[in-house]
Amino acid sequence: MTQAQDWKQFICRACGLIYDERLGDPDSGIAAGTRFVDIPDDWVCPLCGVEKADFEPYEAVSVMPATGGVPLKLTRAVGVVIVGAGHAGWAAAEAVRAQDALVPITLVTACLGDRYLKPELSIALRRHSNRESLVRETGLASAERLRVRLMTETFAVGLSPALHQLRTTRGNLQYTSLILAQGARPALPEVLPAHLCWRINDLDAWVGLKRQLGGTPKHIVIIGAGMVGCELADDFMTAGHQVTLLDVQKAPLATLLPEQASERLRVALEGAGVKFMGTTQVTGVTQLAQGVKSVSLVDAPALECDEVVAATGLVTDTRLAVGAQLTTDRGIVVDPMTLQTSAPDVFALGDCVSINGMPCRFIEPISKQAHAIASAIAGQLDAPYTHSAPVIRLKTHSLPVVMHGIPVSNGQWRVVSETHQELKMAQQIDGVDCCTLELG
Amino acid sequence: MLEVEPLLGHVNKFLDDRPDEMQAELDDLSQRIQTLALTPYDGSVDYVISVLDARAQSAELSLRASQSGLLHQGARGYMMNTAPQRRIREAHFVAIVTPAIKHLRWEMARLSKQVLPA
Repeated sequence: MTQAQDWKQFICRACGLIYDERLGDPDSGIAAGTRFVDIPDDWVCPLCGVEKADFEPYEAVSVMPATGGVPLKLTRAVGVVIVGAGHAGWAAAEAVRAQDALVPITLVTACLGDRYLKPELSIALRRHSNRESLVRETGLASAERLRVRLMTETFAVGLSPALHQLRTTRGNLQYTSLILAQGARPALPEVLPAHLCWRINDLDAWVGLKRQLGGTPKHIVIIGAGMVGCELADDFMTAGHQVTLLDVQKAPLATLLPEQASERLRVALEGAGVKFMGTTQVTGVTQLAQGVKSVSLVDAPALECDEVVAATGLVTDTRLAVGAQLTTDRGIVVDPMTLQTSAPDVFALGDCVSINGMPCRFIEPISKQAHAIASAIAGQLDAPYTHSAPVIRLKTHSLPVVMHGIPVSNGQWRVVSETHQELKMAQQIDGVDCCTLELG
Repeated sequence: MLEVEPLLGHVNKFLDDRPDEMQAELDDLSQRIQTLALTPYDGSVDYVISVLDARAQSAELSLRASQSGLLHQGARGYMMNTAPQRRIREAHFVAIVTPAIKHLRWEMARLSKQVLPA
């Protein structure tokens, strides 16, 4: 038996799942204590299904115990303040604590700060998950372990970088360094009323929808056939519900995939039982009697259903940043190496940032960003962040889609291979493959 | 605070919330309010939260400035007929009169919450 400290971890570049050699993956028949190299090549990520090759070594952040004991009830002392307790906020807390066992860390969050893997929400219904099974560690337990002062159900309302002051709904905080990890919120078009349309972007919303669905099959209309819309449609369908998926484009994921690929996805989703309605524009949602909702459409009769889910994309909530005169475009603009915003001592990471003009809303880069920020705060500038396009994996059982690299809108796609079950395509710039795509 | 600086500056430098710190906070707040005043008919939720934030910060700053004023002045500010002690009382009026600090924070929290179907 190998020494326990030799166990290594590997992170899925698509969904952020961590394979721990010590624990193995018993659900897939990989015994505890199986080395990553010894895993058969046909093993896939148990969460999102990408191949073994899309995993890379992961160095878990080890938190040093404080010497001399640090009281858990920290005072309002100056230190690091983090806004947001999603994956990014906690990753930042872990990284900062690993660098410095004593610095006071305060984490401000609108929710309870419980930790879960967001990509799991897209496949949680078919797995019969619930809040308890999805939460990996409660916010309180994490706060205690990392010696973080956790301010739950607290909203950050104002920021004055010149004063190093963050204002919240539970009082003002001074900081030496501030880390914004606010995430992104669903972009809800005006025609979709918030009190009638679910948006599955956090655990609370998912739990609310699950409660509403109850134990009986329901008819769910999903508006928007992007990545989240397609994954949810597939999951709801597999869980036994009737699903109608609407999009303004004529096929699902048409803005990301070439026509041939999105058409294949449409056929696969319809084959699984999803009713797809392309080139369809929604004009409004209204409540009818007994919980029935009506979705009105342009040039088509209204749809009646039990629940409406809007999957119409994400936007960064820039109110705090704009009020503080931080530079923003489609997110909070950060230095691509240090993740510092335009204001001194203010950093940002995760879904809320914009790097080289592009938001990057994937799990995998977050721990690297957190490490770069923690190093910058500690004055170590030798660990810069390097941005690379993550692997995109669509967790649709009816037709899995994997994309390496980010396609450009005017690029030419070519078919690499095509069979009845499988389609491989690639996009080239100046004769070099910049993006590859696999369906099936 | 500035009035007694020549006389008491040598001990007042041991206090928190010194005149330059208070001035910096006031300048920051004034600038934000000037910006908000450019678009008074912007009824968006984001705008309203920023207005409430400025209003709450005004109350908090009044409390700190008036207390610091009295601490800077010492016994001469404590007298019944002096401005610093009266300012303490009036600063609390700003902080407790509806909408009080607690109401403002309650309302900002309400406006910040995500609306989901029930």
